[in-house]
Amino acid sequence: MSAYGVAQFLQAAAHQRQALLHEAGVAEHYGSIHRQRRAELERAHVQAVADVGVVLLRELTPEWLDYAVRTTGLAALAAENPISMREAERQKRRQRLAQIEADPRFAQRELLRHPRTGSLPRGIAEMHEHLAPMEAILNACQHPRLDRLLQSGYGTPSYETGFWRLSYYADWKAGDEILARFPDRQFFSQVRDEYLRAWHALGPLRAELERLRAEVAAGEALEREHAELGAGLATLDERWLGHVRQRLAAFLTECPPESIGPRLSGQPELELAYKRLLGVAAKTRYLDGIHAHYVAEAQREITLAINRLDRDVGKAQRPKNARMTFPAATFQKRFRDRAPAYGKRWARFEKTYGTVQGFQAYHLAALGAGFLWWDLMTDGRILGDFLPEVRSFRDSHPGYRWQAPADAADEDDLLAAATAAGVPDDPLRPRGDYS
Amino acid sequence: MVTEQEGVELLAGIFRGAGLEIVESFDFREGGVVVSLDGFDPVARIGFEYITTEAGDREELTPAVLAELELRMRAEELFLFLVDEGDIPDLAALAAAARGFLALLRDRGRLP
Repeated sequence: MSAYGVAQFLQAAAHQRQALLHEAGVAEHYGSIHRQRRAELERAHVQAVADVGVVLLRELTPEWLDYAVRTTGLAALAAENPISMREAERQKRRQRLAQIEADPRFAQRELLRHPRTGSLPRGIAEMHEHLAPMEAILNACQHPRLDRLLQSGYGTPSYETGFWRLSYYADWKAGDEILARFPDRQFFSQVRDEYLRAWHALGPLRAELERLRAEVAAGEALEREHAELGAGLATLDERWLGHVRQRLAAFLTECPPESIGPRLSGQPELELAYKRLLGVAAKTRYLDGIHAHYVAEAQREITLAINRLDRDVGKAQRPKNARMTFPAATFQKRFRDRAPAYGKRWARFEKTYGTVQGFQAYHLAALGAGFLWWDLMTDGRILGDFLPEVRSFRDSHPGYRWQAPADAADEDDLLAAATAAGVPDDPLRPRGDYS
Repeated sequence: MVTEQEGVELLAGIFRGAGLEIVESFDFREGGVVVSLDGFDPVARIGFEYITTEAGDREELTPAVLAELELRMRAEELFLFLVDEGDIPDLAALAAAARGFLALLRDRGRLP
């Protein structure tokens, strides 16, 4: 066949779209697995930070602090003197607690603010009782013309609006409407007197209510501050210990391993914790890079291919293109079976990702200048140059050749045994139809 | 808003219904007061003035003129129902107030 028609194009496009959707499903599956693994690694990193801290600084005492500073070389920590800072905080909290406890607003909190028997809540309730009838009068008198009635003296001898004025009748109507809300009152002047009495009394009562509420709020603020100070005091030692441990772990993570490594020799527990800290961080970076290279990039390509396919299908379906033909060579190249290529890609991803993810032998790291975590994790069997970090290392160490550590043979035996035992439910292996 | 024409027509009808001989656009000239009233019965000395900006009433019915007219009304020399267009929500309210005014005059024995 030298050319294909529109019908064949549409059929092949539908088939390829289905195939691409299947590959997108596979990629999404890997993405989901990566997100799970990453969450696990984040937890492992938190644990590694804690482990380094625990080994370096069992307690925040001068002796342990001195040991941690000497071991890590973090001289700034000694200058900061976290022990005296912790004690200063303890002193400050205690002083403020004593101040609060001496304050009558706190000391007599039950007498003042107990919800049922406290003098302030009772005072507030009384104010509400006093205010309620007055507010009821003011509310009952609400009318658009009320202000005008009060100002003109309507209902009193001082009302001077002549009956020849239209406003006289509007006042009359409004006055009657308000008066009707007070069945026990005969004249508007009675309602007017009650309104004015309530209005004048309301201001001082409301001011008193606000004063009582402000007293309650101030007392409650003191109680909250007291509780916060007490809680801070209870966790003071733990917080400062955690803070200094974090500082130490951050320092160790930031320093070049070749400068820290020698300091830790002879302290196997600390050295292992340090190696695990660095190794977990390296593993996280590598897995992110592997996922980005094999999976995220494939997702981007698949999306572009599907969009292009949809666009071309739309064009081919236009009536004016009904007799369009496609050269055989172009057609066959475009609609070639892409499954083998994606299959290879996924196999490489699984192998690379699985190798790095399965690595646990952090203790084999040699923390010298010419050490590459990638090679230890892959036993030098995967080039890994798609990772900028790995490529940069190889560029800056032209004579470098990976040499497995002597202990690695034992590790290999262990890994071989594990492989032989099999992984019955490997989550990396995609299952089902993703289209 | 009730227009000058609507207001005057309504008031003239109500006042005539009460037995008054209303002369529209009455030329009122008494004791220094010179004003054209929208409606006035010169015998009963009862009438009305619908004050609107549209008709230029505010130029003629200055505060001084209104004060003079009110003085005469307090002395019961005449009675003019004074309506400011700004005080009227609708025709029904205007009609109710006009009837109230006439009822008060009847109570005072100024209308049969």
